[in-house]
Amino acid sequence: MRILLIEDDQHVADFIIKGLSENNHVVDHRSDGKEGLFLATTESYDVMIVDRMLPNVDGLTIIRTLRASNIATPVLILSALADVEQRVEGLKNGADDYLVKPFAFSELLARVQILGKRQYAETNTTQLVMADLVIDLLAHNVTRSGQEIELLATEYRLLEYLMRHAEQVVSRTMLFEHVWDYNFDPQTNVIDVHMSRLRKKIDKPFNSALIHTIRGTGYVIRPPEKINS
Amino acid sequence: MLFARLKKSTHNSTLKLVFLYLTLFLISSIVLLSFIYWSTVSYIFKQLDHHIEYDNQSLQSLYKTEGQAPLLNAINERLGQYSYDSIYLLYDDRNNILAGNLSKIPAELNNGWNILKLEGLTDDIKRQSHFARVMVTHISDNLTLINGLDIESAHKQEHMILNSLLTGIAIVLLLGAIGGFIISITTIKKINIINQSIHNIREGDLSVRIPSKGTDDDYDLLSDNINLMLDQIERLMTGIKNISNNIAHDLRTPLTRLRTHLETIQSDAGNHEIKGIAGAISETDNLLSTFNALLRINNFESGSQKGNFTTINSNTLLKDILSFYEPVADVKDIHIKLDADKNIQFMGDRDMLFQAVANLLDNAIKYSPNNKNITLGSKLLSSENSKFIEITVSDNGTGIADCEKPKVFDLFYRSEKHRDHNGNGLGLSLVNSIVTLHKGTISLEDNKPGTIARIHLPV
Repeated sequence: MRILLIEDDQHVADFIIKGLSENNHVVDHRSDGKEGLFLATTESYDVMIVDRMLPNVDGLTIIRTLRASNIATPVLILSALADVEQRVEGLKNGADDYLVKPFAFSELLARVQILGKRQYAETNTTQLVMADLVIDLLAHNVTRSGQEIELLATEYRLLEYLMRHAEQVVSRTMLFEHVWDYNFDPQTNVIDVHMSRLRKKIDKPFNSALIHTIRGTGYVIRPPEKINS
Repeated sequence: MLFARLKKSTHNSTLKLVFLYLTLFLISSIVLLSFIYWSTVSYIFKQLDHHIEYDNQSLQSLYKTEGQAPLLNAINERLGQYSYDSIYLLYDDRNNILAGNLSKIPAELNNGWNILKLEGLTDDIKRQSHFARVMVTHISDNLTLINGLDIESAHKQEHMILNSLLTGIAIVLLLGAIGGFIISITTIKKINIINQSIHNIREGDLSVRIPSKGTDDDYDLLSDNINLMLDQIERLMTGIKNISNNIAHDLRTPLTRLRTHLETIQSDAGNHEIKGIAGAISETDNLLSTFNALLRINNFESGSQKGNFTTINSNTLLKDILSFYEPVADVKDIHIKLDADKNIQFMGDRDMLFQAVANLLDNAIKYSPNNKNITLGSKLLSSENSKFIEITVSDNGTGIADCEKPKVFDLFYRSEKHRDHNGNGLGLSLVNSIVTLHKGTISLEDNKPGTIARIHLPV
């Protein structure tokens, strides 16, 4: 993916550029708001990562300007401003996601990858399919190898979220935010318990596992052959 | 009300001081006035004695130089000229009265000073009850002279002086009591203001200051000094908070970098090392989450995070929390019962309240033995002028010792019993700061066995 990073803290910027490059993304970096905005309006990117407090033009103004000129590129705000109100303010101004500094790089990577995919994935599908696992979004019904699996409402939402972001690592915080719709770092292993219940139903009765734990980050759902390769 | 307060403050030192002062004042006035009384009265009587003695000597010398006849004349002349108060009697050795205004010779007379009761000695009816001070002198072998004064008027003066002095004492006592009462009331009022302010400060509002009247009196000085002390305490407290805040804040970034480095190493590591690195990552996560919780508590307490208040449906909130924790409870065969009959709407920050109640439920599950039930409840309570929602989390777990109850909300406090459990000792502090931010209260009660945590939030 082609990513624009507007961040004035050189330390943080180096750290992000290094990480994203290692994951095969191309990063353009500007540390000045005005220059960043110029690049954002003239070049085409898959995702933009924008700091809120920037020299010359602040992050929120950049996003508002982009949205006003019909540039719909997903934007992730990266900011030390951590209050709920500030997060809401950021999202209201047109940002797609908000990550509070300091952050774990894996969290940033997961969020950026999901933002990049979102552009193409937002089509009206009625079915989500992963190998022999099928979710019927209309009937709210899950089958694997043709066998129906009974899921509780929470488990269904967890699985749906994982499937919508198939082959992408999602963090526990992301799951908590999207499945339970509460915005804070839950800091408990409760989500792991939910996941293990889900895996008991989805993976355990079958030969191959689809859901995998990524240590220190979160979870991913991917087809079985990919593990072997 | 003021009287009630005064009555309540009989043990109050101001009132004691006023009583002591009043008693001392009374004693010293009595001593002073008694002295005045005594010296005035003795002066009056001394004057009388002087007069009588002088008169006696002049009559004696008249007799010695000029003989009996001029003495008689002089006595008669004095009786005619002088007032009614004078007493004279001259008689011979055969008890013949030669001159004077007494009708009889008094019995039992000593030579020199005497007090005579005039009853039966005078023809004047009015003077029957009077006393007289007289001097008895044998001016020659056969003549005895009695001269003196009726002391009735002196007695009257004495009474008058005594009366006015007693009235004086009564007035002094009354004024002293009124003054003392006023002093007590004003002092008690001023001290009560100071006490009330300090009470509010102790309740946790460190920004309260004692009002100063601007009169520059002792109480103003005391208030000013207490206020200065509070300023300093507040500064120190903020300083300490800032330090812990800054440490937490500044350590988060290097910790996050450390975590990223560990992640990088992990991706290249062999199976052998992976477990150790994962352990290191999870320790880093624990540290980060402790710092995050600390910062969050600080943000809530300092008011820098005000919360995103929206209308909350109690049933939705409780059901969300319940469904979040149900699998965790299932692992321990714990059943969580929802005890909420009707939905209550109130204003609050749903993320924060989820966190607060979830923390309580998390503790309840953590400290409950297997197979025990936990109840998550809500109900609407109303007092005289306010309505509030009560959210309860009750368990039958190990409970909290009474002596630990006040401490469990302190930062980093961990019960001795639960040292072996995971946790950073910030959970209940966080709950408390969230509840306080919502202008609510939290209490922990004994559930015999176990604990009931009650959160009260205004509706």
